[in-house]
Amino acid sequence: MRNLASTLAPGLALGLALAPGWAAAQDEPLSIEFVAGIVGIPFYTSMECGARDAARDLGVEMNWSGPPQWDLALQLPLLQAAVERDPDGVVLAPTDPVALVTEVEALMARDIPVVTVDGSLAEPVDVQNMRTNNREAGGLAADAMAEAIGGTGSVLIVALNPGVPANQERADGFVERLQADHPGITVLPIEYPGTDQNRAAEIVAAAIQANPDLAGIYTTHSNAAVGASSAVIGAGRQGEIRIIAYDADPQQVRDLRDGIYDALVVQSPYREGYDSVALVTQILRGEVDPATLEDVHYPPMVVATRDNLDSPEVQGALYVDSCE
Amino acid sequence: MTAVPLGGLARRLLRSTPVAMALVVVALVLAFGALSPGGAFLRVSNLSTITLNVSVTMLLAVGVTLVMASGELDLSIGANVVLSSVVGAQVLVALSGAPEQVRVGDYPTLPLGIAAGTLAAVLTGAAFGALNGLLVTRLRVNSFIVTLGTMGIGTGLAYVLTGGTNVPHVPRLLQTGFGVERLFGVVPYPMIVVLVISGLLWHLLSSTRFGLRTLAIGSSREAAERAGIRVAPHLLALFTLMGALAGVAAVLDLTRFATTNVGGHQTTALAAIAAVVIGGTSLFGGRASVAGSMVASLIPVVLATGLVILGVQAFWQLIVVGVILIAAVALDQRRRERLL
Repeated sequence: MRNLASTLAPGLALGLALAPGWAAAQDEPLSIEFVAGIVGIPFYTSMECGARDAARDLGVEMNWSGPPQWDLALQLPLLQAAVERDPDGVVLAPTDPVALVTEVEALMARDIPVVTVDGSLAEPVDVQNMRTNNREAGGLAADAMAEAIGGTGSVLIVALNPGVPANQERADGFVERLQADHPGITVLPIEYPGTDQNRAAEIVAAAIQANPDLAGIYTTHSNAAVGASSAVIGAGRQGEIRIIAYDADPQQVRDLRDGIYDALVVQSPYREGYDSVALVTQILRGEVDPATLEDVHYPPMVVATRDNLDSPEVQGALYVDSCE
Repeated sequence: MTAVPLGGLARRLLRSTPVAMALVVVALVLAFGALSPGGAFLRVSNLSTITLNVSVTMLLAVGVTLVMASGELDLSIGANVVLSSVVGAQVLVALSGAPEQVRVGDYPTLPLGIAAGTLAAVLTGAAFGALNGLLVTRLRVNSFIVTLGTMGIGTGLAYVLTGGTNVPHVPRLLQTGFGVERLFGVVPYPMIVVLVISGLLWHLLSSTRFGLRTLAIGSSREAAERAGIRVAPHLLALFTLMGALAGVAAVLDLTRFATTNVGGHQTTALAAIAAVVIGGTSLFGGRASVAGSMVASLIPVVLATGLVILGVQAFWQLIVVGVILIAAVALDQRRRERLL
């Protein structure tokens, strides 16, 4: 590590001229604190793998922490502890768009660059936000749906709760793309079961009864997918009614292979982890001028189907239980 | 139960809340049948699915009926279902095959895993319930507060055991072989379990000394104590029974969805308690009806299914369900007051 840091020293000196505000280079490696939104789920484990790989490749120290629940009250102490460790840079997955603005502002004022991932802040006080383009992801799901059902029939969208913007965008992007490019498909009213699997199953079972031409179901989160698949299997319609789900946990990938789902919208947690640590490092080393950055960067996504599941592109994007 | 005056069965039926709520359910079913396109609501497959969807709530409502008959409350049953399903699933997966086998969907010792997992879930639920009972009777803290506390404890324990994620690699066969499977293609297997248990508990409450004592404690704890009923052990037994039922509900839930639901069941306790009160059981104990709870637990599911079939927009569904629930109970009360 130390060797790598010293070989990069000329680059750092150059960088200081470009961005004189950021933390000065010393002999010891740069330290970056990564505060995740939640730990223990495959999405964030994959992000951690990306962050660790970036830290290893670039010769910086990265410390990973995160709360067991997606909860501001649990995340805030971890962020404060991270700041106490006096890092050179911070990557944060904000669990609340408003409450964390002042925290990030304070860090930026101390010349500690902050990149946010996954969630976003109400005001762009960070150097950059990296997150999934949910509207585009919904569009990709719509294209996959049209392909799976052959362009005709009704489709049902099972979302989360009203008033969750990121989740609503997944549904809205789906509807917009269907209306624009696939006029043969009828979109039924959006349903909101919350995180309740049983409620999702109830809704989907009723929709199957009411709509003989129901051809596909798009779920914007995993609990809705579990409820929908239970109802479709219970109605004996597996394989006829296509389900397109969000995310690619190992269990979901197995269900895709087994024909429970027909496509999975795969976000890019590994890339978010890798790119965010790399960006903070480049800013600290003066290789990137923060003023030239876009407010938001959307990493690429893929849609996994049984046909492309074994391709290197899709395999590399699937979420993992642990870094190998 | 009050004495039935002369005039007999007809009058008794007229005053019965379970009968009134059954009429509400029938009216809703007929209305949805008439309104739904092509009578889709009245299809056997739809009515069968409704019973599947109501099964877990109904089972819990029957248990809550007994607890509330004694004047106590259990808010922790949703958390208990989550914790019991987590423990059950972990035991089931661990005993069904080696980790590298279950990871690829191979379960060489599945029967052992299912037996042990089921037992583990029910025992976990019963232990959870026994803890509630001990806290209520030994610490003499109100059961509302005790179970509010254990609700958090149970949810927290489930998160600790799983790291906040659902237990992976639960065999899909649980779902396709039992959870969504139907006897003669009509009666869902989980519903059969619920009906058998509910029948036993109905008998327990209405025709046994245990049931009589439960109602006596709910009417007046002091009077029951003076009459020689040992109240503390009785309450402990009731809470343990409730917990074991939550364990059974956890198994049904696990087979239904082939996964645990660590983030879910947050409104399950409320739904069960609401069904019990709508079905004619007093919130303050002493008056209880297992049949009423069973019938009333159908109302929200019938409404939810019917409104989706009619294509009512999601936001309006919430409003309609709330209005109909209040209206049904208000009508029932008016009717009983007039008949008194």
